[in-house]
Amino acid sequence: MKDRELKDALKAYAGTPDPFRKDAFIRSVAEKEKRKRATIPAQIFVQARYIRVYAWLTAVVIVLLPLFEASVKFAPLFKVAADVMPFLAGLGVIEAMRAEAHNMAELEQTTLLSAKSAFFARMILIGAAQFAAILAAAALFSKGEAGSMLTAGINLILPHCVTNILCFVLERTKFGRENVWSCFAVAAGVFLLKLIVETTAASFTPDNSLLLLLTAVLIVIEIVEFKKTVNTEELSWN
Amino acid sequence: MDIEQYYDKIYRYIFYKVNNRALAEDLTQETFLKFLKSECEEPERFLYTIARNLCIDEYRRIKPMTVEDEEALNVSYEFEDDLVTRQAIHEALERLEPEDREMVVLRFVNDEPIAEIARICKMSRFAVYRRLKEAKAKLKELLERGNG
Repeated sequence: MKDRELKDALKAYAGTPDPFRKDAFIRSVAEKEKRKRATIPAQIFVQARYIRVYAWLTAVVIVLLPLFEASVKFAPLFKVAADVMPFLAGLGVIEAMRAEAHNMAELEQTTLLSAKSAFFARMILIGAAQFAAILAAAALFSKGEAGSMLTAGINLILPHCVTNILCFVLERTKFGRENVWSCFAVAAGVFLLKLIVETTAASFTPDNSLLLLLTAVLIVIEIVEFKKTVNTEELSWN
Repeated sequence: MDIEQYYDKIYRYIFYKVNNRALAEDLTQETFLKFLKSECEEPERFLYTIARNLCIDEYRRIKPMTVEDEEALNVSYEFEDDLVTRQAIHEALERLEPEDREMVVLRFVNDEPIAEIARICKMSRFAVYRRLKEAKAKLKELLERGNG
């Protein structure tokens, strides 16, 4: 008896499993695994590993700025932090949309999580990191004083919110989807707008409650625009 | 993990231990469910370990079935020759040491590499190679002389 004959005889003895039962089992397991992986915390955990280091580092830099306050005057460093905000927001959107930037969107759309979930998870992570950095920076700049902390927070969040809203609107257009890096142009635009407002209305000091209301409205608009952008991902797939 | 890739291998491995198609399929599926719960990174070795443990549990629970038992469960074979060959293989395998039988199944049925078998059976590669050679010779001899 040759080795080949022995192998064939042994394999034939065991036969093959029932294909219908096997297929049904594989399908049911795949479905269970999909449900397990499709939860929001699981998606966020998966995407956290794929966000590039610079996205985290830019948030850390904002927190580090107030720490150099002792060596430099308060006002310029705070102004630097506020001026950087549009670019920080723009970077966040670019990082979240990076599948588009690298022409990998179609590939991401075919994955288990879907492009919609991946974009949602990445934006939530980057947004949370940047928001925490802004809060920490505001607290450090104001040295814990409630009044000045609110002013500092509003001054930092306002340009961030405006940039994010405009970037979301832009990313939903055909041009925006084809040119993800155009978010930098939006950031530069907001930065210039901020400079113009600061120079033309230097003498005007708005009431904190008015600014707080404006910030709240902008945050609501930002959430709506974010939701629309997430849904656009799904629409483009469908 | 791609279940499809391992399903048939685990099924055959279990079938050679329990000698019952329906039971082998049940235990195969249980093996994968246990493996998925464990979230282990090394599928091949752990699938075999889980399958082996499940078979041991099954042995303790019920007496393993023979080819005749399976026939009683209305498993039909087209040709009488096929049944005779199956009976001969079953009896020849029964005469091997359990460890040798396991290595034969892993090597000749599932085409596992020697290094992998050594890891599954916790033996040196040389020992696996030597025992496989002896088991193969014995199996051939038994089959050629009709299990005399």
